[in-house]
Amino acid sequence: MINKIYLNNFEKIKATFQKEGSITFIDFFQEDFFKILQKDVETLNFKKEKNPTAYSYSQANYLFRSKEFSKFVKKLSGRNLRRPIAYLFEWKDYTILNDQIKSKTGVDIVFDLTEYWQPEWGGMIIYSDGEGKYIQITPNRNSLTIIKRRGRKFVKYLNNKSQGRRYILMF
Amino acid sequence: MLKQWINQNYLAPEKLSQKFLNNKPFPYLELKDFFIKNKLIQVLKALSKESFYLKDSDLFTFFQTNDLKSTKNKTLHNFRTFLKSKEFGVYLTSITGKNYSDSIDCFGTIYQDTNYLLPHDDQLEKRKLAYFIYLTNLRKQDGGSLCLYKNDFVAAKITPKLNTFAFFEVSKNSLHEVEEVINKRRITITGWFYDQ
Repeated sequence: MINKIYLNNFEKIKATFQKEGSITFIDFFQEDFFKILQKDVETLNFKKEKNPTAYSYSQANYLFRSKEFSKFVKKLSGRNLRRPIAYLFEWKDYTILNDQIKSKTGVDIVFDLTEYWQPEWGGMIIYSDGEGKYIQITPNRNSLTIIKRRGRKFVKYLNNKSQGRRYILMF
Repeated sequence: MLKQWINQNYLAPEKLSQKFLNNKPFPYLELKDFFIKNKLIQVLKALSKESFYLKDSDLFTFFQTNDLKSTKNKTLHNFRTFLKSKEFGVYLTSITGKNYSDSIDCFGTIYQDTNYLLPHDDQLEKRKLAYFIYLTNLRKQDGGSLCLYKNDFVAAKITPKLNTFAFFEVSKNSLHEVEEVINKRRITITGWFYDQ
């Protein structure tokens, strides 16, 4: 179910991840598998969560088990897969960097199911290392990002130009 | 100097004090047609020639000038000088009951389509009073309103009207936001008065 290109070039990929600290796979799953996954997530029963000074989004639990995927992530990053949480971001949703929460360093695993997107609509996940350096994950269908967290992150406010819905799975 | 800048209806600030202190969810005032209109139009014209810079973070996207203390424009310089004058400081004190230092912050801001400022409380160092001088007219559906929060809910809204002067007391309770602007431009002069 994982795109063969990534399975066949695993050692190169691992070297890149170790050097850069983050990696994004475009067209990560094979297309037919992705379509099933996408339909599953889009039909989840999302619940709105809002705390004005911290976040606004919708959230749902999702059951996703795959030995192939778990193995791939573990071999690459050393991280065990957790049960994912599905997030839905729409117009007026956001999260902010929060001084109160110091997220521990670790590895984030973000799978993106957003079908069509323009960066100027907002919705990017932005990692800040607190020293002025940023890494940005732009919405992109069927893409997986694995990133070593060095600081905190936020999701940029989705403005009135945003069309459609932004879905992600965080493992 | 007050008479040169402020509409004569507002020259007796004591009357405004009760309203300011009793307003909910925290002390604020919205004073319509506050300045002498012709003078404020001159300020707006001068401001449109200043340079605005993109301000972008997790909390906001909008455009802002440097503090207008560095402006070379005489109209803007005079307006800022009036805002920070002892006379105007005393005028505000008679409304709010608080004393202010003679230094202020004073920026021009433009919110274009999609620009916004998410809820936050403004508490920083000695900020005492946040102020907004509106230089454009917006309708409710255009966004750009200043929303004042009580806990997690909007309890009061100020919709931008040309020549409205609004201000609120900065505290841990002064949670507020500027709604996203939709297909319009929202122009203000804004900043803070400080503790002595």
